[in-house]
Amino acid sequence: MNVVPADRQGRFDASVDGVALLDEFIEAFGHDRGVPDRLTFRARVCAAELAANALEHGGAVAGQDRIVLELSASENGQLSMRYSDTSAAFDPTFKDDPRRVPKEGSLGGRGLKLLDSLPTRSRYSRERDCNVVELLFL
Amino acid sequence: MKCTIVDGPSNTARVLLDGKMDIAGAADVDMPLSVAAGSKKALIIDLSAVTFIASIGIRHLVSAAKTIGRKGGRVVLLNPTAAVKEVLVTSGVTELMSVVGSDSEAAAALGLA
Repeated sequence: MNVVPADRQGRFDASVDGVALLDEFIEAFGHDRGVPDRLTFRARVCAAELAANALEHGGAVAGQDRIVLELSASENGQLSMRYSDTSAAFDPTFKDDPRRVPKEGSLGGRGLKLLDSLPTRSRYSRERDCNVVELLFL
Repeated sequence: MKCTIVDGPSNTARVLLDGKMDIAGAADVDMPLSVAAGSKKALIIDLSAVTFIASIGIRHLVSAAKTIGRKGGRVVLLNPTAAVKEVLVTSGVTELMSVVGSDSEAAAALGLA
């Protein structure tokens, strides 16, 4: 996946407050760079899902774990996001994960469904004890 | 996130949500939404002022729908923005709850028209 070099990076605490700041960071970047609102919104949702997973299931500890976002935008409105966190290993792109299918009326699995559908492309890797998810929004 | 409950006719209520339904916002609506779902037969959840939603917020909507559904009632989601609606549709929650664009549609969906 061709990801353009990041032109803005933010580091956030893996906490509820940190996630709120992360969301504002993405929204401000999209506005500043003229990214179509629908793409910025999708990026915000995906970041929120990844961060929520780190906090709720990844054992992320506020004050210790961090989330790093690298954002870039192209002139044609393409938005790239490189998300990384220091929580437990988790690949949200793994298609056979049973958590991916929300059962009728169930409360879970919808976050993964959003991560699967909202980005145009996505890629996961585990690098130096960090989950790294690269997302592209076109 | 602000959550305002307005009682309606026939044991219904309108739930007005205002703000971001993120981790923090979802925590703000958990209790009032649960109370409303527990005490009413139908809810109209007005999403017109919801500026953001993630699955943690959707979780509470689904929970309310399950609670009301067990009593034979329904929940409708009223007038989300296009961006919020995309998230609702993509997540599959619209298979559990109707999304409507007006009060009259909401009333019809709940059988109140």
